[in-house]
Amino acid sequence: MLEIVLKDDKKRFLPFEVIEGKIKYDLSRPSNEITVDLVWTTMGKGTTDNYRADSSVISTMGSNRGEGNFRLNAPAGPYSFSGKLISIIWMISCGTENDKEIAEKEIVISPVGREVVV
Amino acid sequence: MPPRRGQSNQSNQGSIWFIRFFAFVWNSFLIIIIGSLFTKSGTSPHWGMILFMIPFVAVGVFMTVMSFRPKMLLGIPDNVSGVPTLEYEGKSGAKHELKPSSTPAKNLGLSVFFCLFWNGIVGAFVYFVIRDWMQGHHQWFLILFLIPFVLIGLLILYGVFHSFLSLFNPRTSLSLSSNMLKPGQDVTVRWSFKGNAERIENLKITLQGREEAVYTRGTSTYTDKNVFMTIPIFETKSKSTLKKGSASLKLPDGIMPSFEAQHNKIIWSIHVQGEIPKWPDIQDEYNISIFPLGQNEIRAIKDSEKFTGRLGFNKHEDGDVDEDEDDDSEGGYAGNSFKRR
Repeated sequence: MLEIVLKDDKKRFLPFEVIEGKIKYDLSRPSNEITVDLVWTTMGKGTTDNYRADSSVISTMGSNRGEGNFRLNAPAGPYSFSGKLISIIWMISCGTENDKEIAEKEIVISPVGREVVV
Repeated sequence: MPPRRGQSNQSNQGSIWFIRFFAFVWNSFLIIIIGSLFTKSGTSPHWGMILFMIPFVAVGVFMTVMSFRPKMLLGIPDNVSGVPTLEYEGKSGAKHELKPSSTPAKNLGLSVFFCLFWNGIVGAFVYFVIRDWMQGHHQWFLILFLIPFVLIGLLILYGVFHSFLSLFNPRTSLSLSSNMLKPGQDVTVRWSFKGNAERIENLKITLQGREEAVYTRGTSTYTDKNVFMTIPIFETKSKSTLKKGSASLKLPDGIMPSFEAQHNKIIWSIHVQGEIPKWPDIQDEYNISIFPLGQNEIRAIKDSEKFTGRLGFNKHEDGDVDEDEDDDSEGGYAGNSFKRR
């Protein structure tokens, strides 16, 4: 089990802001590390595109249970967006080696405090 | 469990190699067929057949060239982060000459190519029908079957004629006072026409934002477009102000900057529409890049947020990401004047 906990339970971020949080893990299979990614993905009518904007690695030291902190840098863009055909969703995504266990948490990156809606 | 998101699309390599393989097979067949036309001993080449093969050879050449330019073929942007970068836009802040996304000559070339391809194939069938008709074989079913294809061929021919006339339209030249456009910025748009601009009766210049989504259904690929914002920049019927001029444009705050991924895009473009009576109209499109706000602008928002809390970044989160109560359908700060479609 993996759980993403964001600092102050914050889910809305400005571009260039540092996103801090921790991963709580209770793994069914041992993994030496957990990778935490800041990614955007598209949803909607078009074929999905996605991109990893930043990444951080948490070492488990071979332990199946525990927690580790991460820091990710929000880029300039793209902003979280919701249109008629396309939505751009930002999320924190984490996974063990070979992605046997994963977790994702949706966030908003935008200078207007929420996703840009058209 | 689904794979994690955020990795680059790996399926492109497979598509590229499939196209290369298909081009190889296509060209191999063509070489065998064309070779057999020339090597039949004791007979002269069948020139009608050779002419018939020209469109197929053109397709083979096109596929071969494009298979070695996969980014262009598959529409893969150079910048996979989706955000426009200045490397492609020249020097920051400089006056920026815009290039049209298409030119009359390019349109004519494409329509001629398509016309030759379509009418080359249909023409061959028509030739055989006429030949049989003259020999007394009246193939009514084939004639009825061919009628829609011939009509489409005539429409394509009309398109070629239309594109040819567009070559003689006045040419637009458009520039912006800056190439580093950002939401909320003021920019001056300058235009001029080369050629007989007196023929234009009504000139309209607009900024348009649209979404584009590419998707596959079965073996076909489709592109859906949705214009989400149209901002008038300039409109006139006066011949004196029409030929050359400038207009100021304020980009609304809070708009979505340009975005370009492989299948999904947010495109901003300036459209120049000139009505010419009894002649093809001017319909030029100039794509522009609107960049996300820079660190200084974001810092200013952050500082103002400390005092006002207007955007809600410092509110206590209750677990719901989309929690805004004052749903401003204009998608940004108040006070913008723009028209939505």
